[in-house]
Amino acid sequence: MIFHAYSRSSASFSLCADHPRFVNIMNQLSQRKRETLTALLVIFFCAQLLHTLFNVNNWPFCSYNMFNFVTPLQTKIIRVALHLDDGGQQLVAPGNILPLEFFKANSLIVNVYGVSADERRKEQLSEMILRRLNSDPWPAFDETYRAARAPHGSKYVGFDLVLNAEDYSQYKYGEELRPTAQTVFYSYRDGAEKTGR
Amino acid sequence: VDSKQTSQAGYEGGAAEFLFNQPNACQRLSLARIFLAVICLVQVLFGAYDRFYAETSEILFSPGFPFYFFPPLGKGFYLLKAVTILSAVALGLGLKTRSANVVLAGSFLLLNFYVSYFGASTWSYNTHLNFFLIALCFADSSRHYSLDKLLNRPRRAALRPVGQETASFVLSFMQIYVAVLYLQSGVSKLLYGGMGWYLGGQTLFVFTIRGGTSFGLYLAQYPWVFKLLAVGTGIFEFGFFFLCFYRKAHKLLAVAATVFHLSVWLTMGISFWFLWLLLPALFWLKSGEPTPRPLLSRQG
Repeated sequence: MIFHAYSRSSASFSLCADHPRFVNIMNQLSQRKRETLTALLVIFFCAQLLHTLFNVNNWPFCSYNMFNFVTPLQTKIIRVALHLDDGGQQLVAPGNILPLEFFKANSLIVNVYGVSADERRKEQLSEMILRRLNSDPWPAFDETYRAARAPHGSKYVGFDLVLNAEDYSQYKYGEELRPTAQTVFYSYRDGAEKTGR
Repeated sequence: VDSKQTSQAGYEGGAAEFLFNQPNACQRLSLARIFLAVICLVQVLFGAYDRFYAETSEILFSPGFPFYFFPPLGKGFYLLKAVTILSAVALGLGLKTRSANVVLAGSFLLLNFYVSYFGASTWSYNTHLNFFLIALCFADSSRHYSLDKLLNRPRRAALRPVGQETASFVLSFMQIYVAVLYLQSGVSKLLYGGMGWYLGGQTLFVFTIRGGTSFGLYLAQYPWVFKLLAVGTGIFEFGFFFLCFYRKAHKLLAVAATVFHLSVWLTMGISFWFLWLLLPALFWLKSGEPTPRPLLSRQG
């Protein structure tokens, strides 16, 4: 049997009241408290495991389902083509334009620019992204990527969100992995035309 | 004698022994308190709790479970951050420990909730910090390594029971959380990736090329390495859970987890530091005086 009631006779108390370990005796949780705590523990971890079984995150409960799929060698990923005022272009990851953990940056781009139809929100966020990149780029920290940085004297004037098809079986060390196809799904230009495709 | 005393306390090994009689629980919990506070502090100061959340709250914040009516904070985000930072400093130092613990648990809970509902899926892999801080509120973590102890501050706390068993339970909760976390990660891969996830290593290979480190990109020349890493991941994730309940294996688990996370960091650039920095306090350290046993017997 796991739990036992703790016996406390009055005789024992009178004998041990002055003993330095007396306080420790008083610390013993009652059997009911122990059982309640154990039951709460089991319920809590069952809730956590259920999130894993159903593959859902329901904050603050977490399924810890990171990387839980087999990624095909031919797959598509989101990249950002940043446009400079001198006509130049930089291809970066979503994490390089948002000061968030890289995985949250990807999700946010998908939700705001891919799933949502709220054009005004897209423009507002795009404007904020460019303003932040040009005025106050952030450093890298852990899972937050370093902000893209325009060359000295230049500034960003727009960006395209691109869906790149990549074939990882073609990977060669030291060589850039070139996309096999590119699809632009959103474009933004500072103070000029904005295009959703 | 020892087994007799254990029996008198009602542990008798097994689950009760594991949950309520961790050796030096108060001391280890005090150390865990410091690590928790430092991790929260570093995350909020240098991590992704950026002013982005203050500037975009009107267009991106959309509250959900469990605070459906939480308003967009705007510049109030800075206030929430400030409270979190100050309480983390106080908790780390052990100054007004109990109060600091409650304030940090509350403010960091709100802060983490807030940043998890910004136009993205509610991905948040550091909620163990929230649960641990809440659990810590129920134990006295000021008895070691604290200014409160140094200044002989906690007059009221001194009148309260030491709470060795409560401290042990909170410590066990944290240990089991870590073990279940790895189990969840393993089960999730098995359910949704299948055995192919572990035998192929393809996911690790692709994500290393996508966002990995220079060393990871070098290793990607040899895809078989990622098969080994995937098998190792499986052994670690499932093994950790089952070995967690054997105290003799705890030091081994602390080393294994550190090696695992360092390997992932060196190849894929994902450190998960906010979890494994807690492991020494939770799994490694047992030194110091043994837990005093109760003197009373059933016979008196």
